[in-house]
Amino acid sequence: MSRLKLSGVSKRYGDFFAVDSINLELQSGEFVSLLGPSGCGKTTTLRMIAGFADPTAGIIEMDGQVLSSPAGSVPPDRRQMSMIFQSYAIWPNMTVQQNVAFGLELRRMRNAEVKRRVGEMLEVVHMNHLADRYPAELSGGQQQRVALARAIVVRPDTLLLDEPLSNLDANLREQMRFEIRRVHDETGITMVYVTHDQVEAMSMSQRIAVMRDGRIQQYDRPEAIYRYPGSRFVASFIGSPGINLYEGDLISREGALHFVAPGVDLPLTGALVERLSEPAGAKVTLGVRPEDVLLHLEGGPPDALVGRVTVVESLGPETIVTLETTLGDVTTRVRGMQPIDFAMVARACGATGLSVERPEDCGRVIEQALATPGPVLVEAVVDPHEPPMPPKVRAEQALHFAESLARGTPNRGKIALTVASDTVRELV
Amino acid sequence: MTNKSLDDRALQFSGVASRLRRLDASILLWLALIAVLAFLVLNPILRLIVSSLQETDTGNFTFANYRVAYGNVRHLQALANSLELGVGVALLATLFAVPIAWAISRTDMPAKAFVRLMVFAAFVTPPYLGAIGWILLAGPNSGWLNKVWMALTGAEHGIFNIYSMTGLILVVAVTSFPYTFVFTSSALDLVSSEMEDAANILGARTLRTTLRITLPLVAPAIIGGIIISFLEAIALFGAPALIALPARFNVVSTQLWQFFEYPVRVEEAAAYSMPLLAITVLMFWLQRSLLGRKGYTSVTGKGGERRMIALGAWRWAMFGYALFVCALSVFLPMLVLLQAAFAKAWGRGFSIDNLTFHNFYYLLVEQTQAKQAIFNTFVYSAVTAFAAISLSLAIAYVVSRKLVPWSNVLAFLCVAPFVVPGIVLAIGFYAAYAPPPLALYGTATILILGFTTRFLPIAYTSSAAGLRSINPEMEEAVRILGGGRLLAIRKVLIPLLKKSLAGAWILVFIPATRELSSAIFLVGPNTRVISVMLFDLSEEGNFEVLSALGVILLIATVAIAGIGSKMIGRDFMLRRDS
Repeated sequence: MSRLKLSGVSKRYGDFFAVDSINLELQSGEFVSLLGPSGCGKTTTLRMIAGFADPTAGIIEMDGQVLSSPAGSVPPDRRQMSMIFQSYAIWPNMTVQQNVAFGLELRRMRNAEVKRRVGEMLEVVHMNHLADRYPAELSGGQQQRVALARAIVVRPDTLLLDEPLSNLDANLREQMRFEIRRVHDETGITMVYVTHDQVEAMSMSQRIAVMRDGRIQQYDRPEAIYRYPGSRFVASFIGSPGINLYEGDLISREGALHFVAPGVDLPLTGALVERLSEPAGAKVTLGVRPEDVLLHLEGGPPDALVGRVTVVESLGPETIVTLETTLGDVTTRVRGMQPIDFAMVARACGATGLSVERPEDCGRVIEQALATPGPVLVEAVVDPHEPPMPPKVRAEQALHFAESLARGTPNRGKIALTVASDTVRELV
Repeated sequence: MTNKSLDDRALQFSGVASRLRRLDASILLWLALIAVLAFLVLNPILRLIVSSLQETDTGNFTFANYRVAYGNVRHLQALANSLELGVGVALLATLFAVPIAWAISRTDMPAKAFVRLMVFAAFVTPPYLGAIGWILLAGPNSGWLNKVWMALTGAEHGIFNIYSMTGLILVVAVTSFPYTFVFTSSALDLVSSEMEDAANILGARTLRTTLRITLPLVAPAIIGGIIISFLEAIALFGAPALIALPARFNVVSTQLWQFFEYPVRVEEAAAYSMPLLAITVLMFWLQRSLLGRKGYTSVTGKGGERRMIALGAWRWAMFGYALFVCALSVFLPMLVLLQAAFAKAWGRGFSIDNLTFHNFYYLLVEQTQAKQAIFNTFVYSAVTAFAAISLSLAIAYVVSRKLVPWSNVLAFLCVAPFVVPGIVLAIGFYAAYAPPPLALYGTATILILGFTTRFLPIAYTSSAAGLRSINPEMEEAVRILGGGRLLAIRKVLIPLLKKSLAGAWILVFIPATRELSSAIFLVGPNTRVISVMLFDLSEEGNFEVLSALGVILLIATVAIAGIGSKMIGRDFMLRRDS
């Protein structure tokens, strides 16, 4: 039996639909994320589930009983739910112990029992030693743990989480993600998790509802949402770097479907064909994830799409390379950073590589570039160990320097630039 | 936690009936609050306007009151005088305030904390006490400054005469310049040094930068301060009554008061108060649109790093000027006031044989009226502060949580008294509640109600600011764990608001203890407060006892303000809430 059910739920403010007739069902014990950009209605949906806002249309049910409807709602304090707020909302006038004990005391539990359960709970979130601290004396991560403890110590039927990790730094976020998952697995509490962070949603949820403009775009398992996005929006919202999208025609040839676009003729197979509802001859959009593009900087199969490298971003464990092809820009993802170096990029661009290491060398390099036949790729190298400037400033400075270099060049189309081997920027 | 009970409740709440019940509750709450506000704010203002158009006995519609009010050259002269006073004060206050604000905010002038403290002292000094101090200083011939002048030059007569328009402008300006100061310095605090650096790097010197960049940036704030001190000056009753009346000229407020001399002519007073009301409303609107349009939007933007301008030797000149203004506003008047409070006869000067505690003894032991007035003042002010803050907190809560429809109407009514001069409000209260059926004239109730209305805007802005600083999620966390709204308010909201409520309480209490302009129209024989008694004593010319009473009021005020600063942080009163 479904645990929580939203049927045709809307929230309207004047003419604006914050939430526009959404349907959503959660199984008991499920972990579901509401994922979407800011302003998509995910928090409003959560607040309606909590009872802080009433729907203007539709009903919210729990085990078949109406919780919210335009005609009236069960107030939040009677819903047997818990919530972790974006601001944590830890009461600063109470100690950690008092914060966690609050919900239990409301349930008229005996003092000894309260103490025992608070103790156990604080143990679980590793906060026992800080029980008598006030929230102002805690770090962000510790406050987050208190919020988690306070919310689950009452053993709620449902736990609502409103972007609980958005105020934490990256390391802590990963740790808390794990912590919340663990609590979910151990307690079996139904969880509704609101986030704009696709990594959080993908890594934690059993199902994700992707929202946009007050509507649910797709509600499915994370891998299904990633592999088989139901709309252009979902396809481009999920995944970083973003999916490559190409317009083309669906053509049937020798019993197989092909995607045909300038320079491309791609036979479609397997699950892709099974899910395709469009008939042959339709205009379709093809989505290709960057990691599904196989990049050959040199050589490669004869029917490969040929392109010119325009942007290289080294992220450490992987490198994002963007190429310009007849089909349009193609973004690819390559593991590690070894395959990409300046000389290779220059060759991939079909250009001669030149380096500028000091501003004084500018003039010399320009003359050299102009004397070289064919396109030239100039690399502005900045010593990464130079102390006073932070890397970003350094990169910007180098870019600036490189740009002014290009501006002073009479033959402008000829020179492309790359900065510190990290970024290639073409100036035409 | 059992599903059955949850189901029951869900059913219970899912019907149309519950929807109506809930709507009912919120409408009842709205009606209750609007009724209170109608009684406190709307009715007195409406009654003021209505009664200005009514015949005294019959209540028939008439313009006669306006004919009487404006058909007299003396009355028109008083209007002109008020405008002159307002403009003079606004300009002089700017001259006092802006250089000091600039020096404190932007330069390395010495002893800034001290100067700031003195501005604060000028702020908490009731203007009528300043006026009394200045009467002792610059009364013709007998005033201290005149005596010093005569002793130095051997002249027959003194050169200062406080009983003049110039004297009145000076007295009001020295007590109201802190308004302009607060406006200017809060704006200056937001101008980042980078803006000045940008001008410097283009070759402008410090003086040029200040005049061309810094001051224009804060100009809207200065104009705002000018408008406030102008309005302050034209609405003032105490200082003009002490100075203008003996000087034989009237301003609007003293003229209004004369309408209340026997036989009381409320309708004419109401008609006569209209320009004051209109000017105030208009000027506040002007000020809002000025500050709203470009004032702080251009100035905010994070302030940035601020470095102090090194003035070199000029820092001492600047400090001298600050001391001069402080002398005019605090040192000199307070010195002579203290001297008079402890003197047998103030004119006999500073000597041991002139020293006495009798004035205090007389007030606190021998005489009963003063004790009563002191008691009344503090009780009324305390009750007023509680009432204004309870009401405004309730309304601010309802407004911020959108518990009722049309909640903005409530907020608007709460801050509306801000644009009504105290003296005009008092006439409205008199017109509305002095006659039967309520017949509240001379009761403590009408005073407390009047004060509550008068200070409702202060209470509301502080309560609303306090509430805004608390994330609603704090309460929602209580609700979702199973606590009701009242529990959330009691366990979380009130404890978190404690500090700002205490601050708001003091912000209402202090002006209430010194409120004269509305009190003078509403007191009866048994409800006199210190400010009114001070005024009566001045009419008797008993400056020694008067000064002693003034000192008592000042000590109490300073003590409360001191406690406030300790609790809530230094100079909490000099902050500008917008």
